[in-house]
Amino acid sequence: MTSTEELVLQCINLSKDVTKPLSRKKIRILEDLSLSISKGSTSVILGHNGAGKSTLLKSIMGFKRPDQGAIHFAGHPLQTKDRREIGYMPESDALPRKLTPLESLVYQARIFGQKISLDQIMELLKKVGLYKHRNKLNHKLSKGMGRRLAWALASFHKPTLLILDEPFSGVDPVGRVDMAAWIKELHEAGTSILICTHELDLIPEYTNEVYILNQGKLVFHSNSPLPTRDTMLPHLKPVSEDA
Amino acid sequence: MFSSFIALSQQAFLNLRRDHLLTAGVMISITLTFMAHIIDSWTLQESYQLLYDILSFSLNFFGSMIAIFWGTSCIGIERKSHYTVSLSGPVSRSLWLLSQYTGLFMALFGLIILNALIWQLSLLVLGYPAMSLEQITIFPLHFLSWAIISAAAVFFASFCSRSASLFCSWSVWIVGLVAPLVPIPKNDPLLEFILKFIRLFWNLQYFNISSNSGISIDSFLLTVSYAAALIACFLFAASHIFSQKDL
Repeated sequence: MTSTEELVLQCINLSKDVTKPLSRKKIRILEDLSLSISKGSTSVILGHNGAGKSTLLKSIMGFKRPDQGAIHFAGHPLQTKDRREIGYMPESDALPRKLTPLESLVYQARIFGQKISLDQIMELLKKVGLYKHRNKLNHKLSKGMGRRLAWALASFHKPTLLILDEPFSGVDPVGRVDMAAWIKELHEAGTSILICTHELDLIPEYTNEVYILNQGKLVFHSNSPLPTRDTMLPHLKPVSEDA
Repeated sequence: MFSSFIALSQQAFLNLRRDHLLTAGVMISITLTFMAHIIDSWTLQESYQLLYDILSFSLNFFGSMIAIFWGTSCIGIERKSHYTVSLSGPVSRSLWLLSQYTGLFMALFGLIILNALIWQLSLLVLGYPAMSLEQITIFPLHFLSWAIISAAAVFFASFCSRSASLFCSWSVWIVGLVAPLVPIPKNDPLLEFILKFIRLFWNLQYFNISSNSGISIDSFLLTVSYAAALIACFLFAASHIFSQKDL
């Protein structure tokens, strides 16, 4: 069992309900969900569309407030200032539209209170393949380029915990290889990584823990070795609402 | 925290500066200035007063429209691109909202300075004397009314959809301009109370001066305090609501 000092992130009995706007019917998006991310580990959360993966990540990032439960970071309740040590790559279409990649990184560094030189930012832009497009407005970038910028914005400050929401979505095959290499690089440097995806084929082979969400509940948990596709697949099938 | 606030405010300002509405605002101002001069040559009314009335109308109407549009778009809870990246940093939602308003305030300030320059220049070109210090108060007064109505728009945008917040902001703007002009009825205590309440707490006519002699510095300072109090109330409420909301 992992001691609390070794845990970077702990979600304890999280529950979240939402009310449908027209029918006023309450739907449980997260149900009594608990998970832990250890220092330096790579964890993957799997689930079909609408399983509650993004809601969980948004709850961790403070965009949504759980109705019950608690989120702890490095052994204490997660606070705004802790986000200095967290990198978050949201789903697509969440970049500031009227800024350029260069401006986005310069402002983000200032928001995080990081002293990063312009040369370092240029290096990062070269690394993610956006140097030529550094002065193009973000909304004019292709989806793949947008994902590359989202990666740069999430990882530029070398966070303790990196949260990636569908990192491979909309990325071309070359981009996927690059993205996988960058994730591995940070894993080897000791960064804790939490990846949320619905694509089984894209789980890194060095993954330490796999969680499967279905209808907001944790239905499967495995800590190494990486479970086989056949073991995971039955848990990924959406449960019918009538069932 | 302060450097985050400054960075976020500058980012919000840059977003608005790149908005097509700023260009539209400047173009409208230039067009109205020239239209005023054309109308001026047709009319028998005192020409300077006419120019002043057109200036006042254009600042009030078009400026407020831009302030409302910017106020609702700079929060934009429906558009993830507005907040996701910055709020994933070590920034509280209240600080983010205040920084967005500060950026908006700077953009409106830039717009009023541009309007003042265009107007002064055209007066000088047409052979009128430059505006006196008291007449110039029309610009800061209208700027204050924009700042108030944009704070109201930010307030509505903190919990409503964009279209709903636009509608609510326009409605309260019209109420603030019209209600103080409506005669208070003596036979309806409820209506009398509502009108008196609006005149006291939501009176946008304080910023809509019609006389070209301007207002005294004392009255101006009182108006600034009134505006500051209204802006503070709106932002406090907006920040409280926005902090509790699921995004």
